[in-house]
Amino acid sequence: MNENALLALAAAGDTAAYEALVRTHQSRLRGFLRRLARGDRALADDLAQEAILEAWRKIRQFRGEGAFSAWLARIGYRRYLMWARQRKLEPLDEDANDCAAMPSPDMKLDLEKAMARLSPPERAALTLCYAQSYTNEEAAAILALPLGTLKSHVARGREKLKALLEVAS
Amino acid sequence: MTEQEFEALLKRPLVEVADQGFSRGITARIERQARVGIWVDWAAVFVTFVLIVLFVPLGRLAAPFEVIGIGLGLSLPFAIACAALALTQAGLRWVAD
Repeated sequence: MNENALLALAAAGDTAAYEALVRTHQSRLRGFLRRLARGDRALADDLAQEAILEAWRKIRQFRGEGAFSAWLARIGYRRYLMWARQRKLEPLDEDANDCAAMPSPDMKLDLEKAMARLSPPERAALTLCYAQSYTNEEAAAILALPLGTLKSHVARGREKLKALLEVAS
Repeated sequence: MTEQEFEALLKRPLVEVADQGFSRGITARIERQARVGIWVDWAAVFVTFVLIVLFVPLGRLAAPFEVIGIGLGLSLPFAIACAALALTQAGLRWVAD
């Protein structure tokens, strides 16, 4: 069954159809949130669960203008921001030199650690645009940012990340 | 690190997250919430009904209907009208047969 049919069934209250949709998209959403949550899997899964429940409650509002996965990611990102605001978390904007002591046994490990040093919008923008292959327009919609702001987050994030990785290596 | 290596690193897809009952757990939660919702709805209907029975003066509300009902039952014109209706109906059926 294709995604549109599943969405139509889910909008009519079919939980089995919704479960099939969730099964398809959970990995992408949880992966995105894990990176936002700096690898905290429990937090990322809690946020993903809340986002998926919210999406179920609002599924009739989904007009199918974009991908369902993008809509879920948008809800997930909003949930993350709410959580961060409640915890009064300040976006990390530290100097690249602070990471000089970071170990670098593996490049992938370095990437995750370096990502954790970026501000949440930068981390989210880079993850969506590169690792998850969303277009800039889609990523801007997910993060509810103007396209120009998204591009500057991507550019700034790239610069910081590169500096961090060079320091680490 | 060269620009190409950096680009490739950024584009590397995130690690696949295994479902391991995650989707099923969410569906179970949705179904549980729906069941609770139904119970809450019925409880609200029941409480409303009890409050109506307890606080609405049903006797006083029913009194006018009682008066009208008794009045109609004792009214001669109403009895004649009913009889006329019944006779007309019977006559029509006889003609049709």
